[in-house]
Amino acid sequence: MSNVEYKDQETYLYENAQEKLYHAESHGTKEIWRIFGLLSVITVIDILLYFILPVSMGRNILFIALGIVKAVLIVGYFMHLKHERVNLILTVTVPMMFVVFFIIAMLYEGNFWSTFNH
Amino acid sequence: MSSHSVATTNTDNVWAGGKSPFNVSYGKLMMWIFLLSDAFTFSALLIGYGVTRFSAVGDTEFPWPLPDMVFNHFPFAHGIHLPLFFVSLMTFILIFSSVTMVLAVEAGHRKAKDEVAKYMFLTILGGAAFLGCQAWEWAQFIGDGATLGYNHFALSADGETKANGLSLFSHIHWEEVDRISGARGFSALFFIVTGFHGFHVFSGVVINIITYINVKRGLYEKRGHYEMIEKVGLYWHFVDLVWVFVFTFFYLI
Repeated sequence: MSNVEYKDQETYLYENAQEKLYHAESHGTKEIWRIFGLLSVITVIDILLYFILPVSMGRNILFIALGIVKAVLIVGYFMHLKHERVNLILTVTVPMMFVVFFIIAMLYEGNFWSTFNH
Repeated sequence: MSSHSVATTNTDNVWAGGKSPFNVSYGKLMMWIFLLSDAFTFSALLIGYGVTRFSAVGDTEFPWPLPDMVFNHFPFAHGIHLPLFFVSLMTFILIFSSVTMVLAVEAGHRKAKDEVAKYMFLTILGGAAFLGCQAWEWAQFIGDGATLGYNHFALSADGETKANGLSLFSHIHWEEVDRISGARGFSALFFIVTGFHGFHVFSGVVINIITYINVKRGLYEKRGHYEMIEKVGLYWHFVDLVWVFVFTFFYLI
């Protein structure tokens, strides 16, 4: 560790561990534009699929899958979570398992309501 | 306050204090925790939407309206069937404002005050443009007769045949299309979920304006770092992230 003295811990982190997220590992602005390109292409694919494919469950699953890809790009690169420490990544992502459980539970319930009502 | 080196001490023992086990500041970690809780809130709203819609399958009395036949307006193109066009524009505005936000964060790490201010300003413009679009979208929705508990956007069997004959860019004559009351939850969930998201965008714009003023005043320059831009940026990207799913569930599916 360097002998440079920092005003407070916030400044120390900003200048060291956090600084690496933006320069050493993410190559400045080049990567930002690359991710923007990917997000735009996926959105255009979404729009094209909407007009080309007929309405079906498969199409819906495809839209959700593309949505998850976009979410991973935004969280991973724009919010720099991918380059953070593993314990921070796990703190944020693991609790999202509850959402997965919630989706499964509510789809099951929604299906029951549907057969119950009609 | 005297300047002291909290961080340069205790290099050997992580548990002796004075070190961040997450390598992020307290403020940034708490922003992540807040966003996690906000993600749960939006998940609950979207799953609530999903289950309501799923349970409406097969309902012939109050069918679920086709988004294709509801969100098909575009400014200055009245009466023309343009599904998904306007909302795609909104999506691109929000993605682009996310890009300018991340460019502001990057400029902050180079301590380039003017660049940070420029990109923050562009982000505020993007957010304001998105809010304007959403206001227009709501105005159309309400103007078409939607209220929190009622809408007449579903199609009768006869109306559906006519709607199937509609192609992109063709003119709609609503008086010829037979529309009936749709599922109650359709307009209620649209107002609540897009409204809750829109409120997040609004508060994001307000926070962005405050940080923009602080950048201009030289507050972060004096502080020695632009970490506030990073924290505000996390919130702004989250708003964009939620829109990805609102766009998917409300408009695409």
